This record gives sequence, structure tokens and C-alpha cells, in this order.
Amino acid sequence: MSVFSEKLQDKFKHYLARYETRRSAILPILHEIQDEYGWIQPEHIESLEKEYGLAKVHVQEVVSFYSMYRTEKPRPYRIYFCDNIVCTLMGAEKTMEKIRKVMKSYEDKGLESPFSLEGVPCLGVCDGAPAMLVNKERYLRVDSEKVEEILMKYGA
Amino acid sequence: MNEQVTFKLNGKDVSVPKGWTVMEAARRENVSIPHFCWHPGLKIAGVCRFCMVEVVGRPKLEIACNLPVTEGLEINTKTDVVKDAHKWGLEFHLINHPLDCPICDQAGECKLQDYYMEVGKYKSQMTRPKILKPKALDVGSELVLDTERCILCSRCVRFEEEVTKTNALGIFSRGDRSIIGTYNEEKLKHNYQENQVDICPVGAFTSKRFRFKQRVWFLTQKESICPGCSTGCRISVHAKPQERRYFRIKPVLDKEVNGYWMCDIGRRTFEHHNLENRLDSASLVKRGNGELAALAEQLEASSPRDIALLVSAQYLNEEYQSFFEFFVKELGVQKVYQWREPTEKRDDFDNILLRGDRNANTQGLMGTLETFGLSRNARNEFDDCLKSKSKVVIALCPEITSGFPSLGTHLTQLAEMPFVSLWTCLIEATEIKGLENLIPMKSFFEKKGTTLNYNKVERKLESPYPSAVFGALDVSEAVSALRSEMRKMLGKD
Ligand code: SF4
Ligand code: SF4
Ligand code: FES
Ligand code: FES
Repeated sequence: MSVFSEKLQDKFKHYLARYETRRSAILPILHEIQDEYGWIQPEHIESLEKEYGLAKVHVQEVVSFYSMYRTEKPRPYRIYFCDNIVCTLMGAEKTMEKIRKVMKSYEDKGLESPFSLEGVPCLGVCDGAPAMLVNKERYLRVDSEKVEEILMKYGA
Repeated sequence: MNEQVTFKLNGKDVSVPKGWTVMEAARRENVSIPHFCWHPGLKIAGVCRFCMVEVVGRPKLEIACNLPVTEGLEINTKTDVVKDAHKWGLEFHLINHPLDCPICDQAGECKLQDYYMEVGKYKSQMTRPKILKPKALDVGSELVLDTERCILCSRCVRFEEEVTKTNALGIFSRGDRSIIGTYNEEKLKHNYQENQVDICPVGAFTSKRFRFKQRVWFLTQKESICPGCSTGCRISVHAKPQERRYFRIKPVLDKEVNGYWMCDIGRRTFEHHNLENRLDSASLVKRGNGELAALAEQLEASSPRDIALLVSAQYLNEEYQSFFEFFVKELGVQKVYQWREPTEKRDDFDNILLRGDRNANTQGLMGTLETFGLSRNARNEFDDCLKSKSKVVIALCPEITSGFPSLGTHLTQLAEMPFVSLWTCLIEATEIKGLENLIPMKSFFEKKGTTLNYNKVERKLESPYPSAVFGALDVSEAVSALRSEMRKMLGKD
């Protein structure tokens, strides 16, 4: 029995046939896995070797090369906050400080925060600075008040 | 057929077969092109960008390892632009290098050091601190890895891909944080690990067995043949003869037999040659030639029918020749037994180099038996010798014990026979009670002669080391000493 669903396996087969070398299919296959499970787990890498002959080392090389492949279980809500020049000028740092505070309030209560925060490069919406993404949702002009409202929506 | 192309190398016309690269051509012409990632036994990677050469008429320098020679090409390897490229290349490779040559085993045979002296010699411009990476990692039974010393040439990665087909090493992360390693700290498990120490151009991979033992420039090197199995890889034995110590073994290129590699079992075959593992005349019960005299007495008193020869397949053709010449031709002994490991899988092959027949000279022994009209004896085994009720047994003991788990039992069983003369280089023999007649032998690297490998290719041992112990003999020397003992005895009568 495969650890991957039938649907996923069909996709893998499609990618494996698509390129000149099977190794080239590692990149899109990893995307599919991350979309399905949220992150790339050791058992996925091991199964790719066992079931598809993609060497663990080759997969790990790709996973470790790209920082956007996740190798740890992600929090339910991942905040990507733009920390480039325009957003910084428009107060990104202050908003991020607020987010950190909210996250810490969970820990103070002995709970795990449902959020993670990461600084990212320009999101291409400088006119709406400061800008952020929560998972794939985009928010503009998030100052420290607005951000509290948004986080509430997600359960804070 | 063999189409030639002619090009200019540093102004000189050079012709090489079509398909050769500039790197290969330059090597044949003894023109040194500094390089890290190219290795003649592996595929081209072109990642170190160090083998830059000038191609006249082209705007940029190109890498020699991946540049096919074409008609009329003009290559310069020593011009100022090339020298400049070398300096820059080295400076990049050394940005995060720990520069710990004083404690690095590779020092003295390190390509970074060599090229720094040859084409580098710049002052470092780096003011930022170096990036630190994991050191002294245990990556396999034979290897230690220092990822800071690595220059990311990918030779080791390709070795795992192309030679052992194990894909155990990869380059993880990116940029200046790139790091060589195994998946999830798994260990390399194959029998070819120490080749990584040889092909790694720097001191990233070092050998557990050799690490911190010796500075390489103090070692003498002599070519020999690996006694580890019937492949017979060509090797170089590194030792300090003045201290009577052997330190390590490295493979020597032999296109016909082992190519560039050898296995780890073979690398270990130097250990038993060292003093503490050796039988020498001082460790004997009776001293000096007393042992041979005792044997001579026994031979004198026995009929050839009561004498048996027990012969392992780890001696040289010349030794077998004089052994059988004396015992079979001169004394008329007819009982000959092969001394082999009963559990051996003689026809096994790992599809790289190592063979199931862990004796260096099975073919040579068979051949000699045949010349002496003893082919039928080739099938006689150790147990047959035990059952033969012989009164005197002369036994040529195996010296490579890694493939001979039954040796201890065999020796104990032999000790129960009436009179056994054990010809051996191993100290273990003295621990067995009842084995009283021991003749100290020279070990494999201390002998001159030939063997035949599994494929009947002749393997030559040409430059022996002086024996690490006093009073050791090869079989031919022992036979002539024995012969004169017997003459002496007859004279006395
Ligand atoms: S460990 Fe050695 S062989 Fe492997 S990539 Fe680094 S420098 Fe090259
Ligand atoms: S393959 Fe055989 S001959 Fe070659 S190194 Fe290994 S043991 Fe020695
Ligand atoms: S700088 Fe933040 S979106 Fe462009
Ligand atoms: S030797 Fe040519 S690029 Fe490395």
C-alpha cells in the first residue's frame, strides 16, 4: 500500500513520463505532496525511493535547495509579511510586532499559536503597503489595529 | 578508423583521437591544467570552473574538461588571463575553507594546497567571518567527513552514483551554505568507501583507519598486488620501512583489472603485516633454525606415504614451484590437500571488484598442481587431510584471515595431528596449544614473484619491502634451508 492517494499517484506517473529524466519530475511531485499534506515528511521521501526509484538523496537535494518546501509541520495559518522597502517605510515592522505579540499570548496561556510569521520579499502590491498573505489570502494596508481584526477572524 | 584531430596547445601542434577533450590531451602532453571536479574514472561535471583555458578567438575562457578538441583549435593554458582566472577560482574556493592544514590528513596530497602554491599565492580579501559547517561527521565505517573543507566538486556524489550505484551522497541546501552529506544522517554501507578519500581532492573525506596516524610525506610507497581476493587489484603500499610499519594501501590505475578503485576489504590487508601481529623467530619455542631442523628430523624418519602437504592458495607461483619441487619431486610426497575456507562462495562477484574467492592465487596453485601431475589433488580438502592419518603435515597457512572464519578451528584441529609444521606469518599460531613446529614466513608485501588472478592474468609483485620481522622466510627460502638441514643430517650419519 502506498502512502500516497490514487489521485496523487496518477499525477506522479504523469510527471515521471513528462521529462527526459525521471529525476526532473522531483520538483513538481514535491509541489503536489506539499499541496496535499502541507509539508514534506520523511516518509514521503522514503516512499518516493521505494515506490518510484527516486533516490532519497536526490529528493532531499531538491527539498533543501528551495526554502519554500516545508520540512516541518506548518501551523494552520501562515502569515507572510512583506518586509521590503515600501512596506517597511509604511510601518510593516510595527504590524509584525503586533502579530508577534498575539502569537506570544497563546504561548503565555500554554497553547500553541495557530499562526506562523515569516518576512518575505515584495508582494507586488506596494500601493497597498504594508501588505501580507495569510496562507493564500491577500491583505492590504494592514496596520497594527487592522491586523488584530484579521487575526480574530482566524480564531485569535 | 582512429580519426585524429590536430590543435595547438601552447603554440605546439598536438594530434589526438577525435572525441578527446582538451583536458585529456593536455594530460597526455604533460601540460598541467589545474582541476578539482574532473576525474578520469568519473563522468564530466564541469562544476568547479577551475580548469579554465584560453581559446584563441573566443571572448571568454572555457573549461578544458568539457571542451572537445576540434581541428585547428588554439589553446593557451599559461597566459595571464588564465593565471588570473586561477587566482580568482582559488580565492572563491577558499572563502569559507577552514585552512586547518596543520591538523588535516590530506595535507601533502591536497589539491587546494598544491594549486595554491602553483597558481594561487594571493592575499585574502575577505573581511567577513567564514560560514561554519558540520565537522568530524561519522558517515560510514571507514570515513569521517569535514564539510567545511569540501569544495563541492561533486566527485564523491558521482562515485556513489556511477561506481557503487548507491546514491548515498548529495549536495544539500544552496549557495555558500551548500553542504555535502547523506540522507537523514544515514551511513555509507558499501565496501568501496575509502575510494572517497582518494578522489576527494581536499581533506573533506578522511580515512578512519589512517587519520592522524602519519604525515603522508614521511611514507615510502611501493607497488604490489592486493592479496584480498582473486581479482588481484594493483596497489601501492605505504609504509615506513625503517620503523617496520605498514600504514595504508591505495589503488594504482590498472585498466585491465581494477581501473582506479579498490575495495575496503583490500585496504585492510596491510594490518597483519605489522610487527605486533607477526610471528618472528623470537616468538618461537625453539630458536632460529631449530624448527627447520626438527622438521628435517621428522621428514628423515618418515616414509613419503606418511607425509602430507596442506596448501593454501595465498602464496606465489614461484613459492609453489619450489615447494612442490622439493616435497613432491625430491621426497616423493603424493598426498596434497588444498587448505580453503569450507564456507567460501568461490564464484561470487559483487559486480565491481570483490570476488568470493578470497585467495590471491587459486589459479596459480591449480596450474602448479597440474604441472606436477597433481590435478586430481586439487579437489582434496582440509577435512580429507585430517582424515588422512598422516604422521607429518607441512601446512602453508593462509595469511588473509578476513575471508577465512574457520581458520581458528582448523588450527586447533591441526594441533591434534601427530606432527604439523605450520608455515605462517601470523602470531595467532603461537596461541594454539600443540602447534609446536612454526616457521615464520614473510608476508605478501615482502615477497617478489607472481600470482594469477581469477582470469589468469599474471599479477607481478616486483618491489618487496624488507620483512617487518627478523628471521622470516618466503617458501622458497624455507625450502632451501630445509634442504640443507637434511643434507647436514645425512652428512652426520
Ligand atoms: S567531499 Fe570532497 S569529493 Fe565530495 S564534493 Fe566535497 S571536495 Fe568534492
Ligand atoms: S577487490 Fe579483491 S583484490 Fe581488489 S582490493 Fe578488494 S580484496 Fe583486494
Ligand atoms: S514592498 Fe511590500 S508589497 Fe512591495
Ligand atoms: S575540472 Fe573542469 S570544471 Fe572542474
